[in-house]
Amino acid sequence: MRQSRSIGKEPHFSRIILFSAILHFLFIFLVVIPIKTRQEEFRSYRVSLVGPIQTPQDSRDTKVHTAPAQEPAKVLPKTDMSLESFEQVKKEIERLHAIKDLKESAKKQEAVNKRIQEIQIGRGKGSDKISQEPGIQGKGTGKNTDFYYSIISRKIWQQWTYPNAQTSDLEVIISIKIDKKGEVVSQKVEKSSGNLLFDRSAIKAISKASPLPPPSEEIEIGVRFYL
Amino acid sequence: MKKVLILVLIIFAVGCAKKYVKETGEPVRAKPEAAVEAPKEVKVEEKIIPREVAPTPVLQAQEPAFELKDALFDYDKYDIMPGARAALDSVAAWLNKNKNINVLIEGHCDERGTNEYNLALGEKRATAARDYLIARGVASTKIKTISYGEEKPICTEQNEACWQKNRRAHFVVTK
Amino acid sequence: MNYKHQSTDKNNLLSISYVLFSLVCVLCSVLFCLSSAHAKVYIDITSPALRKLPISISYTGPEGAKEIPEIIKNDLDFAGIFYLIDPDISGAEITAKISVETAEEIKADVTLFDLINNKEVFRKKYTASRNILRTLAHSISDDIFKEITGREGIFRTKIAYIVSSYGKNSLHMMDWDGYNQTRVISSGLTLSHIWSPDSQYLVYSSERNKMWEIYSLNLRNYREMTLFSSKGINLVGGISHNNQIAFSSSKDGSPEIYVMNLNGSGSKKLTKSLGIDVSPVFSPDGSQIAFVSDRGGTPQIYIMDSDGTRIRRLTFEGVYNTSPAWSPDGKWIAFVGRKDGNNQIFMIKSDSTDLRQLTENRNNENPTFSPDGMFIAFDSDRDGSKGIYLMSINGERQKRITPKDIKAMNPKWSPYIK
Repeated sequence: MRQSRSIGKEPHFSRIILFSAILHFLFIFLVVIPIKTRQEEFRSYRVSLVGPIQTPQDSRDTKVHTAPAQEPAKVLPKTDMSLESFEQVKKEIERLHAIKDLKESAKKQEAVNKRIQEIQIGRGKGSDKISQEPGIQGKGTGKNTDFYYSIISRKIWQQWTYPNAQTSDLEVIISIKIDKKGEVVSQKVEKSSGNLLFDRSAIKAISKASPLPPPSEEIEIGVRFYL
Repeated sequence: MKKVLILVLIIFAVGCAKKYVKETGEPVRAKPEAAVEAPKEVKVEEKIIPREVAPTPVLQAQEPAFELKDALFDYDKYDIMPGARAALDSVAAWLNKNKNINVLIEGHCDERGTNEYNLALGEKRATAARDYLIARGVASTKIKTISYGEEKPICTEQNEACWQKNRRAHFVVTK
Repeated sequence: MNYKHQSTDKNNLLSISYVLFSLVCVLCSVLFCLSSAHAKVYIDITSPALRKLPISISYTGPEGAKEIPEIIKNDLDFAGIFYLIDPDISGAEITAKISVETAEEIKADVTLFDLINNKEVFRKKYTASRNILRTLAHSISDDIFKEITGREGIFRTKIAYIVSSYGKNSLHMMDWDGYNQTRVISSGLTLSHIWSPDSQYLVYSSERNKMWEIYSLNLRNYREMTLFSSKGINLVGGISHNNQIAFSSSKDGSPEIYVMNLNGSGSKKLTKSLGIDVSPVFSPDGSQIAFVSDRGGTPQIYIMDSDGTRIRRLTFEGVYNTSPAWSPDGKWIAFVGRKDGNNQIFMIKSDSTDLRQLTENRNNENPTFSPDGMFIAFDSDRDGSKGIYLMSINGERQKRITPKDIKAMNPKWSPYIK
């Protein structure tokens, strides 16, 4: 009885902290983690290069996609590990929601495919034609970033040759930095296939494909070559 | 698990090879190893290992000439066919009549199987013939067996008639 | 007393709360960081165009040593990843310049040049006496191959095989490309044989004086040793990386699988069945043995642990599957299966899936893998008399390497020659 009679602010404060901690935990496990796992599915852009290029992009995109598209370019693997506030986590949630919308709109592709065919027809003119495509120039054109990735995938794929038909289950990941002019300014093997010939064929493909169409700003991406 | 870890580390080590091509240093004078040079023909001493006396083939016919017919077998089989019984019975009878004669049974196969399996199959055929003779009263000490698989055919045509001839237990009189 | 108690409780509660809160903050930041780290974009690319590496070999030197570039071209062409271009024509991405001087010895100066990046890849000098000119050329091929692929080449490896004439089977050896054919053992009738992992010994089974026994030959001093002798048939099957020999013996009546040491000691019986158990071969890691058994009624291939336990059947198609050979990476087993009356070479994964037929022309038997696992040597009667053939493991580029006037069979590819 006596213990329950609180004196001063301290007991209240500790209860608040406790309450806050519980709420945080609940929030993390019920909201953030499910969204985070969904985001992992979206991590890599799978571009099928046998047949028309499919992009998860819709021509009707609004600027809500600008933020998520730019974020990948800006955020480098090394991030400050200091404590973040709840506000930043909230922003993260919003971003993840936006990406979720983006993924859903991947189901509508017709207008995009049509545009691709236009590009293919004009492919002989090379990167000039592509850079005239709306959206690739300038900043904040996130709506065409996924489109951009499929263009450069194709360009690299076209230069990729490998002499050995019989080996399979090989995979190499090359990290590349593309500067604003489209030049590949750095490339390094992020994950080797264990087969020197295979790794080299990937590096050669990237070297031959450079210069790539210029991105909206310098980006670093991973290119995964696999058999 | 440890193996996987080491493997992963090695793959990463390989993957970290920075240079695409090797920069050359001083020219290297390398002598290729003689490796396995073409070996000369080998004169191998035949080691006589102490064991039971190896049977020797008979050079002249001391007994009245008697043709020991081959016992034939079915494709891929080593059980005694009804048709082979006649040959085996006559061999048994002859051996029982001539007590001081020993016999070597060779098991053979046609060429259609693979060499090692055929060697085992031939041995089974020789053993089956041997067991049959023992059941007909021949003393087991008079019989030796060996197999040659498909290595010593008596004909080489590619037809069933020849193949059947090769699927045989062959009897060699020994002293 | 109570007051103190109270304040301790308060303190406890407070510290617990602080701990929980900081935990939460750490969790949030970790999640944030992880999700940010995952934000890097990856693009996937597959289905490269199949295009061999264009390479040109140029030679300067005496006519008498012209064989050297020819051997190298033959080696690299067989490897399957190179496309040989005449040095006078453009289009090569790599070029090898070989310059040879001969006196009592051959001196070769080899430069490998990367034409895409305009860099010299390596420059090496070789010296060899004239009688091992082919070995010298194969060494150059191995070095070029290793530089480009990162893997060891097979160009200095050998193939041991059996030559049969007039009922006698003798053991021979030749270079991988069919040259330098030499007889090694001629006494008795030799059938099965294997290389030791260091290529120092050949272990084989010969019939001499009506006995099938297992011998080993030291290739350095040509001393022969009897490893196993008994009544019945003793046939060597395979050897593990740590020199355990697997063989079959019918000393107890039926042929069973045994293992023993390379010097013939320590033999142990592994199987016990009424039928035929033969042709044991070790997996590359030595943990399993594949063998042939007719315990199910027909000859099929089985796999067991190298201590004889956990026997399971590997082949289920067809009524005659024999002669297993394990690929160097342990994933595949090549074997002979009878199909439409003929013997063909098949490959199957060690979990019994993905059965593939590699040959179809007449009878093809006794498959053996090259040490890099990219090729298979075998014998075939497709051209009349039996001869040794090579092919890549997808069945392509089958070619004969022994002459047509001899009957050659049962090849065994050596390990890498150090």
